[in-house]
Amino acid sequence: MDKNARVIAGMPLALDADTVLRHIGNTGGPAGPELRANVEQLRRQAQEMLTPRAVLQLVAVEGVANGTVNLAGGHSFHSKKLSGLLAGAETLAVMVGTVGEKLEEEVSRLFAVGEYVEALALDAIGSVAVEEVCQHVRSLVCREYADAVGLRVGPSLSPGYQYWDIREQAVLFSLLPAAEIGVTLTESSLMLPRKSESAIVPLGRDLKVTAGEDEPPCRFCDRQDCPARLR
Amino acid sequence: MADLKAIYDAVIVGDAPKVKGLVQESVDAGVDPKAVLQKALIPAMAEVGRRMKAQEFYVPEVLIAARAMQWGLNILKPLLAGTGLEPAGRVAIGTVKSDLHDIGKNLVGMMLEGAGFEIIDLGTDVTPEKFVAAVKDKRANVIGMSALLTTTMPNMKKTIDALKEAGVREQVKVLVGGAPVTQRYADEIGADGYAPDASSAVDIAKSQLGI
Repeated sequence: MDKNARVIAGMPLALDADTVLRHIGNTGGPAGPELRANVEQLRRQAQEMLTPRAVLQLVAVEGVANGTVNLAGGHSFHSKKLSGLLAGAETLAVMVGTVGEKLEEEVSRLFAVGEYVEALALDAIGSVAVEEVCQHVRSLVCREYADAVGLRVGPSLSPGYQYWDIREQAVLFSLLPAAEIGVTLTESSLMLPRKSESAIVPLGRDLKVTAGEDEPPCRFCDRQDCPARLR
Repeated sequence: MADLKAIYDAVIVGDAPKVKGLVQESVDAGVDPKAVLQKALIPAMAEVGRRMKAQEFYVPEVLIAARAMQWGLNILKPLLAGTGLEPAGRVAIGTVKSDLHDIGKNLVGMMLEGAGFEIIDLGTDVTPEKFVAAVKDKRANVIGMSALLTTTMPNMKKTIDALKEAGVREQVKVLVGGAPVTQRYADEIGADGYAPDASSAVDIAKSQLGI
């Protein structure tokens, strides 16, 4: 299964301050300037706490119908909305990315010593960092796989969003060797380290639902009150 | 009283060094530590909660104020120990078994502490047995449970069942919260209250205890 798995490590992370602030939620109150200063300072310190890495595996799609996505090797995903988003997919680029544990340990330490604002800012930086890791892999999939052979590219989709039961994380993890980058899955479908992210990207000549290389998956998710949602 | 007003104002704007200095000055001048807590720090955090509900403050402002209060509280705590001052309530707070998300739980804990509650922070991945032990051994009269995953939410119900089995369910108010949790779910599992955010957790804890 994993003979073609590809490990990617050390990708550069921008940790864009505006994106970090958007993750925190409304920052338009009186503390906004202090928070921004914190984020600006912490994003530099955070670089030393992050070990970005990802594993990527291409998996053939054998069929998509009636809420079931059948994959090579006898695996399958089950979600009506997901199967609609994967209509016409030939291959899935399956990925797990992480930034390691060091940052979350520092977040816990900051909370414990009462540095709540820094803790919140650093936690958001970690979330943005792992999103950037997966975006890096998505870009790589677009350029090195899809564009090279003329495949259309769909949105990045992840278990745990409203369209896909989080318990199917176990199926996704059975498709690639996530342990090679130090990511494991608990019985409750929680990824460890916590600042990890999983996703699939559908590819196909006749893919019905497509998305741009840099397009965030917000328009495919129904959660309107998500602080990180791009409107 | 002028000092207390200055402490109150400094907490609201989140000026932690100023709060620390003013609290120290007050106690050095002989002001009753209880008065500093009950007439300055707690009312200031109540005002912060009010401003959050009115959408004048957001999470960052609340955190900055909570930090400022904490700096003041650190000076008062040793002075208040042994005075017989009872907290508004004892809240055993934790993220349920198999779940490790703690940001929301921490926010709720600091807001409750700001309202004069004693916080028994059980951390994350808290088993039902640990919640039961907090009621039996640490005299918690409120349980606050957090879950961020649909796969771990059922452990809230298991904890309530464990409280019943241990014969202590009637001694505690059970509050639940977290992204996938709803009022309907809270009702279904027999919780006493559901808090959609940190500031409402304070109101609900108070109303459940009749404060």
